[in-house]
Amino acid sequence: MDLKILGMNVLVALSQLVLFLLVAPLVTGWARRVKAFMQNRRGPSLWQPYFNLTKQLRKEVVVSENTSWIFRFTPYIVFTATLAIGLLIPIYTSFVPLGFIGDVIAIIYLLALARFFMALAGLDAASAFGGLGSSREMSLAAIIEPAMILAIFTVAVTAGSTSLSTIAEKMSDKLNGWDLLAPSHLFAFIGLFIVALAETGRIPVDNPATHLELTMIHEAMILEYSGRYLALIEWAASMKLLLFLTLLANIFFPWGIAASEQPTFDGVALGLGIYLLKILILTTLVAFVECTTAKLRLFRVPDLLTVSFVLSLIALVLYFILGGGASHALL
Amino acid sequence: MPFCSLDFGLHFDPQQVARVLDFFATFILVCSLLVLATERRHVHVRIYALQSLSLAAVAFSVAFFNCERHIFIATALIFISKVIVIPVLLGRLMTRLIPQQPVKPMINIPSSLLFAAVLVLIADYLTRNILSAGHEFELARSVLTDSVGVVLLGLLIMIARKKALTQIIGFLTMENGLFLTGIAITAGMPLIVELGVLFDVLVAAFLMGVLLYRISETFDSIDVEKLTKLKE
Repeated sequence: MDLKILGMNVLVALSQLVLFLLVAPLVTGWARRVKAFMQNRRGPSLWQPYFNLTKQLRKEVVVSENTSWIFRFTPYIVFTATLAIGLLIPIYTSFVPLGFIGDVIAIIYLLALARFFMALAGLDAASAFGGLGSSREMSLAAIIEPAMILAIFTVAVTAGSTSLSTIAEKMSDKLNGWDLLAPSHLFAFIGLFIVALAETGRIPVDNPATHLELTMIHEAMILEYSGRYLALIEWAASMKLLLFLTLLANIFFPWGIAASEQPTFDGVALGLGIYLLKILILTTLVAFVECTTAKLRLFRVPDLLTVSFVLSLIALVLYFILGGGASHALL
Repeated sequence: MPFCSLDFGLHFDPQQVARVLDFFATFILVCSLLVLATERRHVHVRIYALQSLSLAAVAFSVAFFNCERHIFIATALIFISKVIVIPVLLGRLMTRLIPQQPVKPMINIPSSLLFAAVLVLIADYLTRNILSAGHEFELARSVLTDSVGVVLLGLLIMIARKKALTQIIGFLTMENGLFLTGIAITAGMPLIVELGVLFDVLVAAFLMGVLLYRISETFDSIDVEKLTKLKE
């Protein structure tokens, strides 16, 4: 490989790491800001998530004496797993820093790893809320995961690869700029959007703004955490939101992503600008959905997730059915 | 006002046109699935309006890209009757219905969605032979599959839901599916046929609305199960 390209890629990888870490709380702040605006509130500052993080990082950690090592390890595992996924997805160039480790399947398993330890930690402190949160999280995960896998596979079969880098490259190809209109992608997009709402604990499924509701899921599991552990988990949660928005943006609307073969400074800058714009729009969309829908009763949540699963299933089936037609032109 | 692509001297790649049609047709199918996915009736009416808007977009695309000028009139009629009049009519009807206990559907939401997925597969099976034989107006391959799917889903909505209002939505969904088939296969039926069909639907929606109101007044519920019981 050319030394210049190698240098550029290292630069891209480092900037992606920093960007992913630093922009994630901003996205959460922006979502809160839009929600506050739509509810006629003034809302906290855009930088509030950063203030929270710095404060929590400095605070003392209180750990229940009944907990085991799992409780203390989980924040680090969740944080690292989420950060690793951040390096497994193409963000503003189609180059994936950790691309040699794995593809989209690795992402799904890393998410599952974080979820597994999160649920264990919820049970570990033996509080009633923790156990309740963990059991809810795992039972919902049983529907979320297949839906997510099917939705992503729909795009993967269209691009003929499970590598997100290849997917992004094929989709942003100038000749096939019309991919958004491939019918199966419409189904897959809606399916993955519902999954993203569920995975990041947004309103139709869970309420991110409170931990005083009996219907909470994510907040119930982390109720026992404090100090830097809480900071790490909340940071990971905002990174997860950014992660899903990035997946949605770069799988379904990969316009403007810089190709990794000949990365130019202009291309990367343009890719970064377009990426931030897409994230801004998607975050606003998520906040809009949160403001306009009522939170579902917990027993109705599986209905919503089944919609997502069936949409993803139909998406995948449609690809093979309509193998000719729109999607065929891609191959 | 009707201007089509040729008036502007534009020529579009048929494959790209097919993609636009595919997109809107698929959206109609998604809308029918969403009707099955929720129980709230005002959401049903909104989804129906959205579905009809998408149908109008299909009609407009056919008119614009294929220069079938008379379809512009059909587009306008679809827009007025299905996107505005019928949803407003049903919306006003709902405010007059007696508030009632939630009616449990015949088939619950997750299983009816799985049924829906099977029906889409059946739609594919039914249309595959026709498509492989090749028909003259191959506007878009998947539009035919989508429209048969929408008709079957409309039927499923009518069977699986017990509320009379939802059954009306199911009927209207079926009709949208038929209209989509008509447009997709023939690139537009003669105007007089389309006019007839549209007015039929409008009148049917009116009549069913009145009937629904009467049912609600008489039985204090729009659960059609109760219609089988004799009442003084």
